[in-house]
Amino acid sequence: MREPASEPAAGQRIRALVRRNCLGVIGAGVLLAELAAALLAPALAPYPPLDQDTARRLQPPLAVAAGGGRYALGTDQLGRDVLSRILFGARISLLIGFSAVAIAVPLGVAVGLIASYHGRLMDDVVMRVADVQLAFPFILLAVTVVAVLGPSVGHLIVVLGIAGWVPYARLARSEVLTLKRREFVEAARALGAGDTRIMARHVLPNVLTPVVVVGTFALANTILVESSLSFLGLGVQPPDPTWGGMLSDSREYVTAAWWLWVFPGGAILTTVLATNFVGDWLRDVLDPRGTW
Amino acid sequence: MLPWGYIGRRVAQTALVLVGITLVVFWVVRLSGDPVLLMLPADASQQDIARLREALGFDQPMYVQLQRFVERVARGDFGNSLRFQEPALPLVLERVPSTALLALTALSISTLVAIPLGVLSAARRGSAWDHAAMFAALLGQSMPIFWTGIMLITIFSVALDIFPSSGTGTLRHLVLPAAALGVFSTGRVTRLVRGGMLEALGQDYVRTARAKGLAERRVVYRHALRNSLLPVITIVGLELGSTLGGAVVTEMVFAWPGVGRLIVSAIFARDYPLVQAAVFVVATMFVLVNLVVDIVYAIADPRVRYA
Amino acid sequence: MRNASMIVRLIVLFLAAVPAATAWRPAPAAAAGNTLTVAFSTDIVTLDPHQNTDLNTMQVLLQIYEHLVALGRDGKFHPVLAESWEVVDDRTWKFKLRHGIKFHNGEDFTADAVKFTLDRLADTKDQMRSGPSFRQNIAETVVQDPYTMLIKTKAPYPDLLALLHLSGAIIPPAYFQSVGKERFAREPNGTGPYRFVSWRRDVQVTLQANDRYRGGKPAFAEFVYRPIPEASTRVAALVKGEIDLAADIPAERVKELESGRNTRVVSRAGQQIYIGLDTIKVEPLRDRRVRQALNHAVDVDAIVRDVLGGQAIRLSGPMFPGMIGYDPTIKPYAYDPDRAKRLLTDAGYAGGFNVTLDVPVGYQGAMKLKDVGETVASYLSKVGVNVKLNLIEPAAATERYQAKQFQMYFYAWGGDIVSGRILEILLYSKTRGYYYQSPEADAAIAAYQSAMNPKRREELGRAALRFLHDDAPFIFLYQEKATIGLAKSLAWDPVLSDQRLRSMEFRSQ
Repeated sequence: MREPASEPAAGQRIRALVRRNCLGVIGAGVLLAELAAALLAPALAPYPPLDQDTARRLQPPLAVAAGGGRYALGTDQLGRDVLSRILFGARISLLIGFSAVAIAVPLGVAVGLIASYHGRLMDDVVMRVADVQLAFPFILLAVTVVAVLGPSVGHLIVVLGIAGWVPYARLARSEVLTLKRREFVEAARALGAGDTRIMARHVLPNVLTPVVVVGTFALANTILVESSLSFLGLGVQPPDPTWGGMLSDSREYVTAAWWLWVFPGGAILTTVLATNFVGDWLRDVLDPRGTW
Repeated sequence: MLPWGYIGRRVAQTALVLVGITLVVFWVVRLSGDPVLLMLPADASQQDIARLREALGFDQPMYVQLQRFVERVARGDFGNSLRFQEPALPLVLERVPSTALLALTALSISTLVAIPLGVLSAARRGSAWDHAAMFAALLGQSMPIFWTGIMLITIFSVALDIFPSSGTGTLRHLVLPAAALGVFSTGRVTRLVRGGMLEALGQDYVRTARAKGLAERRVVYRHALRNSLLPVITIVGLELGSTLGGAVVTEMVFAWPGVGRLIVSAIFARDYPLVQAAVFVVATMFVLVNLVVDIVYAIADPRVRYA
Repeated sequence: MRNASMIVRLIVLFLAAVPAATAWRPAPAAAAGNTLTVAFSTDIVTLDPHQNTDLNTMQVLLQIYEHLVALGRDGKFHPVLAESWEVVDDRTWKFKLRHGIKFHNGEDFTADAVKFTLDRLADTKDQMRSGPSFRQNIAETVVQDPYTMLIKTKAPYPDLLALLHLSGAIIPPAYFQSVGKERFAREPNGTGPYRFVSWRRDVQVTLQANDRYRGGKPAFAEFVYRPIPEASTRVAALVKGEIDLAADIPAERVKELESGRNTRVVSRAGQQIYIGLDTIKVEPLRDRRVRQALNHAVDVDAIVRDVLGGQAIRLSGPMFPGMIGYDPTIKPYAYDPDRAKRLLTDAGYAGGFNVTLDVPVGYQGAMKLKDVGETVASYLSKVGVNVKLNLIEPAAATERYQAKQFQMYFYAWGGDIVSGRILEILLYSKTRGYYYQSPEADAAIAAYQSAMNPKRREELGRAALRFLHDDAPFIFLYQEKATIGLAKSLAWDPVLSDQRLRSMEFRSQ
């Protein structure tokens, strides 16, 4: 428990907080900047991201191409501006990341709560379904969805969301199991509080914190998974850009056109680092003892 | 005192899980499309196609196909691979050792790197070492595996000519693929070790030992280390799952003859029997590892059992 | 806690020890330097030549088995296992076979082997996967004496020699009957320059030189086939000298390999790529003018130059050099967007129309179809035709094609030379007829496919191809150059520019 110390001025406390966790703050800042860039992409992008002209293909960064345009980060194999594609790619990559997590988290938490609250049989059944889910190769699921429904951003989000619920269910479940035995729950029950009320007031808040941390890390993960799907030919449809797709498309140009992979790769790297810093920071703030 | 009740229950449920997976795969794989057309040349006539479909039993209604499938699987027969025209299960099983070797080596590398890295970070918390180690660990986790693999080949194989670019056969062939695959887990495990060490080091007895001097400290460090490794067990289970997933891509980039590569080409070719057999085998491996992990953890920490 | 820590220690030890302790199959002993190693993107599928429809597998089978005839540089068929032949009548061919040839296990090659082979291929009860054309055309095979035989066809079939050249791998009857068909598919036995040694799945296929080969001693003691799925890894292996030949080089790497110290690049005729049009169900595409407009609207030369890095040849119709009736005077459609707009207006589509273009892509799909599709869509939109691109997986593509669900779709034909098969399969309404039915085309193709007189066939071919060029059932795109990367130390003198490797054409230099 924290001891009530003498209260320093609010400004000093914030500064102290920031200094101690500067990485987390930087990470959060970066993520916000990326979000802003994604939202403002149409305004920020110097060229239309889908506009291709094979006469100006593979221009290095800052070169002046035929037709007079200057391309800050170069052009790709079809003559499209890399910078603009990265900005618009942010939209799709972040959209997929956030949406998939936004599906997986409520789904997982709900399943976890239901499972553990309603008796051992239910708990076992749900946990075994989770095992089936985890043991099932993701690529098979991805290929099937793509083959049956077609590759689109929406379908991709659904696949990634559905495939990712288990960690949150586990967290919710472990929280419920710990709390179930606590006295105040028994007391509340004795006083006549309904299950839903107990869940909402005591369980959910405690579940939320680890879930937020795990969800943050999951964001980075979905961007990487989308990239691997592009590698296998199952990613987002052309001509829409995503960072992962751009990275995958550039693998034959590793030495020939470095700007095709350095920038999308850098964007992915930055995002993953930023989300990890933020996740660590959240964990330090919300659970300094490191129980999860 | 072993929790036999728990163990018994989990083992029985594992069997159910495997049955469930097999049925799900059967259904999912048929959803994904028709393989017959892919197996015949361009000049095949409609009758040729119909004949092959009939010969393979795909003209039957689903429930009939399912019934036949269940009957055969009960005997251990997953049918013949549509492309290779040989029994599917042996084709999968002969690839398992390669993937297991790759995955376990990757896990070993990442664990052996992560432990000292995590300890170092914890010992010098907040310092430049800590940040550098964390950054290095994170770096590997920030790139898709196929990219890490291609980079490793470009640098260590083509440019520096230290390792072969692909294939299998000697220890040197194993290094790059295992490194590419392992790099991903390293970050997670490092962080875990670091967290565990920090917690252990924060305890009272440690502070007392510190006050008392160096020799005590060494003993205490070892004790802290031992305790911080407990969560590593759980991680092994989780990491194995994602490692198997990463193995698919790694095997394709490095031309490694494992199950992952087989699954991908079987799926793209809609080779149902092979996909079914492969998923069954991989799922079994995964589920068994998890079972062992769960039981070990239940022995060590009774809190997680449903009581 | 003590239990746990012990378990933890055991696990860590186990993880560290596993790689060392695992029994490891040793690397196959390499022949003393004299090996020809080739790498393709997929592993072989079977070693039974009659059950194979996969081109990569064929590369191995071609070294083990031989056919009766082979196409020569001059465009005429040359004797291989057959010594000579003559056309007896419209439906009968007489073959005289070579003497003194043995299969790898010592069995003699005689007319019995040929009969056994053709009977197996033409069998309608136990259907061979590579057999459709045999089943459709061969009536019976008659053995007159151990080195003379007759092949009778159901109807006049001028392409018999082409069929034998492409798919008629001769197998040994006695050996087959003694080992049975399952073992035969794993332990092949042919008359070719290399004999089978071993197949480690997904690792390599190893063949050893046949010192008694009729065509002379092979230049290499060993022939090794390695499957390497990822293109950039294949290129890396070639650059490092781990392999001598890498197939399917991406166009982006061609320059690098051409200027490399130890590598060079060779182009071979690859697949033909068309955009098929549904001329039956899609209203605008029923009109020939619209179809011609589409052909004029796309700047295929620019696509070939910029998107494909020059690694393709334009096509003027459903035909390619080497085909009987190929007429180089028929020019491909000129890039003329104004003309395209005029044609569209004439046909009543001044405002353009909407259409879907299905593009099969995937890890091993035809290279760059995605990029080409995007570029085609952008050209068509400039004349008012709005194309919605639909990426689909190759397996799903075949299914949708058969179910007649396409409006516009990419189609790849793995060209075999000197055969009217492409016309029969893609455009003859009695065989497929899914997307194109034209009585004139049918009549032209039927006549072309049954003319036994070579000159007459040539004329009919030209007529058919000219008609098809004008009727434009496809948007004619290009024939890919299949780029193959070679080590500079490998000399190769290919007789044909097709997609098949013949090991006797290689030597060290």
